[in-house]
Amino acid sequence: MMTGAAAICALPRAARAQDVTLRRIPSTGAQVPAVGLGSWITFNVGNDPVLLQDCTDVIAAFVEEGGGMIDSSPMYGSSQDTIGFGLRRLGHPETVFSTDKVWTNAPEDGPDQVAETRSAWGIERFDLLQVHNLVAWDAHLETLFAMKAEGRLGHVGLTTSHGRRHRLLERLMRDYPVDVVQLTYNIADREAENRLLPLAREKGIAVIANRPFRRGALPQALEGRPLPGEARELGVSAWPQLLLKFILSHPDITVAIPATTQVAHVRENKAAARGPLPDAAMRRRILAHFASL
Amino acid sequence: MGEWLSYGLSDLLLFSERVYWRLFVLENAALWPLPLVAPVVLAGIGVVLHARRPEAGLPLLLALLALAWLSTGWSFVWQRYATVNWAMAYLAPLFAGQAAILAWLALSGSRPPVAPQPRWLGHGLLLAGTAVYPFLAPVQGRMLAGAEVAGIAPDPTAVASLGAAFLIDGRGLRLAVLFLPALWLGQSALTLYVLNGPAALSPALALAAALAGAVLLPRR
Repeated sequence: MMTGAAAICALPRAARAQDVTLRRIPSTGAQVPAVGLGSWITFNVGNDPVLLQDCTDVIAAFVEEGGGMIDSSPMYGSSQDTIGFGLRRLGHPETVFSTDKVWTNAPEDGPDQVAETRSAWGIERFDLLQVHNLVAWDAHLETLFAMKAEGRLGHVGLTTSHGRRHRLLERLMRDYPVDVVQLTYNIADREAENRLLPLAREKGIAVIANRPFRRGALPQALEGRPLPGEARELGVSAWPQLLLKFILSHPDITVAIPATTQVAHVRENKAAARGPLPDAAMRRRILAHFASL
Repeated sequence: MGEWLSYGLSDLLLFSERVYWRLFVLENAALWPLPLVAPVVLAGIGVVLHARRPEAGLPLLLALLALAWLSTGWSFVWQRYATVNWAMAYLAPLFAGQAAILAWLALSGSRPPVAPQPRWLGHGLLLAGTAVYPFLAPVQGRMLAGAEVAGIAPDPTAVASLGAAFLIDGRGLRLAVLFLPALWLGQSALTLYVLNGPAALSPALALAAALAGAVLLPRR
């Protein structure tokens, strides 16, 4: 696993050469590939040996494509165990930026949950741990900051999704020295642009965009609809890549974490980070086209 | 509270349709040949014996269903379904509760009173759970290896139990047997509605039939 500011050093030379869109976490200088891997629903496969192998193949492809942030949560059923299974099979690749969450209403249970999460992944130290949906945030932040100070954690973060609890997230971003926030951002959910993304820039906080495809609903709704003219300039031939390029082109978004069960989709998602990204004018035209559909 | 209400049903489901149906493939394989035997025994006891000798058939049927709830709750719900849906850890104990109710009715000294004719709703639901449910898999485009089988999978077990409830006389006893299966089928219909709309029809129809029966059939 990558650790703190040394993260980029851990990336193989090939990965550095291929992925021109490494993103920097301002507070530590650690660099991570712009496209990560979510695990909500897709990696919750229980102890099904066939599906566990499928997920391992997805992780293997992700690593082959440069690796980066793999994100999970105790809330995601067996996803943590699935990731642990895959990482063990793959010999714990160094290019994985281990990212998970604390999710319990009982503050005293936080440290035990973190220990269980570490055990599920089969690792000693996380690159990033976040307070999931701001649940019991005060106690969990205290735990995570203490872990970071002791060198047992690389970064501390906060998460929300579906546009919820933005007001509280904004307050916490102002009051606490968090390294990362995770929130929902995609072409249809852009509320974060108003206050949270500018604040993240001001405070030097990295931003992870979750639900980049609205759990597959966006590509499904857009299937068969014409791509905007900008797609050709961007070298894109399908909506999912354009949707990702749109997210990654926002200057305050650090990483997007699409989840998938298919190796082909991992490779397509990773490809979206390469090549040109839309500039501000193109973003406006893409938005106008999207609104017209 | 307001925040929770803003979540859609699909936001609360943690697993995919593929994962859900694979649970039955794995469970059937693990318990083979029980998936072949269990529904035949339940249907045979339930309909044939009960139709010919209702007084003797009903306790045996209820005892077998008690066993079915116990094994389904432990093996499928607790050990398999709960691995992808942590909420099942909270529902699994209810299966033991239902098993206890059925076992008490079956094994208590006084035999459970048999419902008077007509008993077509009871027999119909029993047959739906035991004989029809397994074939929903191929009808819905899935392999027979992933069939939902009474005594192994919770939905057909619940449907068969609704049938058994309508073979019992007395409103109180009937409702006691109906309640948890109806609750389970309600959550199952919602789950399947989110995963795959049409698949929700089977538990929803069984539930609707039972509720209609509970309201419309003669009460004693």
